[in-house]
Amino acid sequence: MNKTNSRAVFEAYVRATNARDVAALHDLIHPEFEDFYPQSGERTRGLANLQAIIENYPGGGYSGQGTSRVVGAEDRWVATPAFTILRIEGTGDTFTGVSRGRYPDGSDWCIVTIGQMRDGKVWRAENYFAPNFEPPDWRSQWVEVVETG
Amino acid sequence: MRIQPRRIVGSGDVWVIEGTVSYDGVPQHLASIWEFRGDRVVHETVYITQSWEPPAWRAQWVEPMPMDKNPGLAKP
Repeated sequence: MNKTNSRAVFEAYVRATNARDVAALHDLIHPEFEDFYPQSGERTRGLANLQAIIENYPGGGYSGQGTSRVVGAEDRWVATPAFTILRIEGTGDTFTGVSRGRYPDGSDWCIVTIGQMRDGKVWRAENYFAPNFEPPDWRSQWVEVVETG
Repeated sequence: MRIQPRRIVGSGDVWVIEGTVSYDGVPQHLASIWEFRGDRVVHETVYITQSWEPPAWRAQWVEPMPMDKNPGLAKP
């Protein structure tokens, strides 16, 4: 599998996850797929369990907002409106996707997915969910505030 | 501040460090994305967040996660 296809598969995986598109995920994930949430210490094995979680998410799940950036081997930018991916980067068999998610309570979070590919499919994903925070005053003289999507 | 790496993955010009970072002794999760140009870092993006209790509603479909112990640290 070439690098472009690996990147495309991972990007499609992130999009399908954000859209809760189980049918698309079926074609994108490896038979030995494992999904990790290090913050809660949870591991989900295989499509059936992932599908059950997606279909049973309390309150109907989450929705996305805005797309800004894709970087990596090709270092390219995209501007597809009304989608959740902020950036995807990586080469070879490891990619990182950053999305912005809005939960049913209205809070916005950055969702970081570190994906590893095997046999042309997404084999392993580690996910972090990080809230935005206000920049601290003590370092403001050395930094700039940037728009992150 | 103290950073404790748990896992390093990546290839080419993009690498990710996962681990914990402690502020005043309180550990939080860290995911740090490093982009290289040549042998120098040109862009680092850091995400810091907290643990949470696994929710009961999905307990039947998940299992405890085996935590890696720095498998990438020994590699060049």
